[in-house]
Amino acid sequence: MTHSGNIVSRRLLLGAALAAPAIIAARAQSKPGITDDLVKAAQKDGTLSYYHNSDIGPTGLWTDAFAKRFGLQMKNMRLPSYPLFDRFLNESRVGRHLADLVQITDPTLLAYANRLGFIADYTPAGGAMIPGDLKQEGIWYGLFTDPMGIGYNSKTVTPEEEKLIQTGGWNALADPRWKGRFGTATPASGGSSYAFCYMFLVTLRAQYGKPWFSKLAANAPDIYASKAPLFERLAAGEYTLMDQGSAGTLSDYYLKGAPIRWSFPAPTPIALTSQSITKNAPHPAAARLFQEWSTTAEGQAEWLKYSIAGATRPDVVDPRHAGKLDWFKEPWFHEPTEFYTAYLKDEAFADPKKPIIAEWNEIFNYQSGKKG
Amino acid sequence: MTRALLPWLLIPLLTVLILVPVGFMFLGAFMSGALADPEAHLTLSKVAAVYTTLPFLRTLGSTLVIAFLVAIAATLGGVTMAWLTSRTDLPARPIMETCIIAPLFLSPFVGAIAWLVLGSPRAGLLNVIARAWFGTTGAVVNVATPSGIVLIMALYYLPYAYLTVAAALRNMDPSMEEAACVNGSGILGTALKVTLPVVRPALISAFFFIFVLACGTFAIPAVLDRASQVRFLAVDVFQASATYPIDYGTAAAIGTLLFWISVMGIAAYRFASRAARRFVTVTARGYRIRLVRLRWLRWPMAGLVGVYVVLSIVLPYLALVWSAFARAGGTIFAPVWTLANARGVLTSAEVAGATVNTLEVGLITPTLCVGLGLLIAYAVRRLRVPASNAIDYITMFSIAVPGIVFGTGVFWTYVLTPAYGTIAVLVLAFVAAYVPFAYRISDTALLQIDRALEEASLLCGAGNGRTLLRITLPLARPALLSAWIMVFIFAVREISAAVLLTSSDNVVLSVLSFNYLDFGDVPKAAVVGLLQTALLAAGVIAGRYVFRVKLSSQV
Repeated sequence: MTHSGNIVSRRLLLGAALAAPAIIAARAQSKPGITDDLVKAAQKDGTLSYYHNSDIGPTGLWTDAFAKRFGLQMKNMRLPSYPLFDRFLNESRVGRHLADLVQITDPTLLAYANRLGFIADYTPAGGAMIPGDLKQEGIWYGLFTDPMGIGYNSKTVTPEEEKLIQTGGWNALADPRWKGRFGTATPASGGSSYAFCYMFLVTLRAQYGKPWFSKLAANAPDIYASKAPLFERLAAGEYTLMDQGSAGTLSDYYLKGAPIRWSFPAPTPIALTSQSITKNAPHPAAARLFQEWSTTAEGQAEWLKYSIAGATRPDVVDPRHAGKLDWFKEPWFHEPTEFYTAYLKDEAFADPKKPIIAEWNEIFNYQSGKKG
Repeated sequence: MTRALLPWLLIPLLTVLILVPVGFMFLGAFMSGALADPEAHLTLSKVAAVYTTLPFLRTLGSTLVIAFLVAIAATLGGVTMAWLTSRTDLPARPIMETCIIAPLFLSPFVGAIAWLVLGSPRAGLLNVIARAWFGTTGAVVNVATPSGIVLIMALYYLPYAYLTVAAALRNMDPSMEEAACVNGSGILGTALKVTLPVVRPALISAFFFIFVLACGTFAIPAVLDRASQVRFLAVDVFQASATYPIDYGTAAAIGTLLFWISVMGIAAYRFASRAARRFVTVTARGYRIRLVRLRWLRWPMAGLVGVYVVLSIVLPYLALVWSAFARAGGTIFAPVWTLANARGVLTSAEVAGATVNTLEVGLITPTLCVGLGLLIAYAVRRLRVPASNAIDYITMFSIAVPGIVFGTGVFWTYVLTPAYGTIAVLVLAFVAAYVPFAYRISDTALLQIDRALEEASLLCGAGNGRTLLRITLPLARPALLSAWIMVFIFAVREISAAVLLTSSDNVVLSVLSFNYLDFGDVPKAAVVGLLQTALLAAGVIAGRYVFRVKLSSQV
């Protein structure tokens, strides 16, 4: 596997975005997929059951906006990525079909569910605007992107250390000065953590691989079974820095006033929030309508009102980015220069046995969900 | 309802409620994958790995040690508090008593969140204050250690020991203590040589009960030990069911291991309980309680209770209020307050729905539990129906299964029924989990009711059903109401099974706070925790002042 084939230039994703108007009035664009017949059929369904792994607050507001717009009732169920997917799988296997749509951060699992016959073949009109590497046509569509970098607590680093984090690339994480000050999450915790570790252990194995992770392990990090609580502990000052720092969550803490900053070493892995319609959706028309709306500029722009993750449509730009607001105006903030998304098309990544978890556990001496 | 028919009603009911989910747990332990996975096959590998390989055996050892220490600490603390409030002239005893059982109103999960905020080694508020005021360098308090976890678990299990031992102490004839005092024994001597041996059965019963509960506890070690430095079987069960690759077989196999440990603990608990009840029945007669005078120890002992109250209630609630209302970026010395989190949570549709669901579960579960518990106790204790022993054992079975494993069994039991995904499945799971508590309290209450009253009813021509409704029920009312309140508390706080059975239609507050915390949103989890406490307090206060239920007198 070569490095070059797996790195997507930033230009590909953000170039088009910057060239587009700030936020397009999207209703006109969305109309081709959202037909009167579909809306009527969805309203006849009446309800939509949405299995997701996103933050319940923003997701609730986003789905409420959809429900109000089309006169439907939303039923959201939130669980962490893997338990959610497993629940959907078990329900599908016994023929108990409750979910209309499933949204998780590991789209390869959606592809796996498709191979099992649990995913509907549907192509929303807005899907054409989503870059090819962020979707599997007819199966799953990436809705939001979230770059992952190094997050750090600005109150607990010296200026020299901050410089190292900002300019030292990924090797900055391996510096022994972080011993006892570093927190990380197991790749078994979720799709984004797995994608992050996959880049270093598989795609960039020659450059980083086991020796690099061994240096991280030598810093005796606290290992979290779920990544999300790590952000809170970083903000509280329990740790100085973390890897797998999702920009969406870090910037949320920044907006709340926490002393949180971050850097995006190159290449920057992208976590992709992806969505599929289930094969036996109890409300199929409502499910199609929601996917149509989710993939329109209107639906994606609506999401940006409540959350910070980026839209996958290049014509939808975060107004904060366009207006140089919030962290975009900070002197320490630097845009990522190149993105890593190629894992999404890597068949080995989709191996449901997730073999790199075992290797990672061995490097960090982390067994049976516990430190060894 | 006749004596002969009751077993035919109770055994199938208890089988579906309790045995089938437990059976699914055992079946799952022998499967290579999820039960519905067509590629899954029968295998011994999971059980063999869990029962014979070093990582799991080490975790087993660690779990047993932690649970043992928790049970010792909570029992010693509970006995001391019970003795102080029941047998001595401790100041403000009614208030003290309420304060000691107050931790029951705080979900252990929420309490653990609070202690995470207070006692994290670097950012914990207590450590920040210690650094600023006393110039300390390391962590003064670190809850993310085995000792920290033992301490926090003991704080929240102490009320169970207190309730068990306080009831025994209240029923104890004080003449023996008086005789000891007359013969020159001091306060400590009398307590150790007279009081302690008399309440020993209750004490042993409390110890094993807490030991079993601690073995299956998931919430406290999972929240405090976010960095997985402490080995604990129930947390391994959760991780096996929540992190990739999801391994139900291992989770179930660990569940069976916990099951056997709990069965042994429960056997010891039942033995001690029987002894305790024999003792209480024999000595229960009219007497006047004469309190032990603590003299100069009166206020230091009050201070001891005060320390417990500060650690278990005051500090955690202050931490929750801090988390809920202080803006990120402020410090404990220069806080910036905000209502944004509270407003965001309290105005959200999710919280409104979860509050309604929690109330529904909180009202239906204890009602069904107490009804069923009383029926079982009446059938076993009074009617001595055929298969009484079997009914008794099956009823107590669910205590032996950790909530998180039991939740998986309940999932497979009901996934194809209309109950799945609704409030009903939570109620069924909680009734199964908590009916042992309602049963034991009902059983104790029946023991204290003179049989002659019921026999008089039967002689006058009333049937068993009418006697139960017209004679036994009114007489047992105080105990049944206190059982109702107890199960209400458990049902509102429950999280382990609720997380596994959650759906869009049955989200309860505990699951909502879990979801907030899973996203690292401690402020919103704290707001939900405070809301949950308000519901619990409202229920308990209503019980106390409307129905005159005194929780501490009936257990």
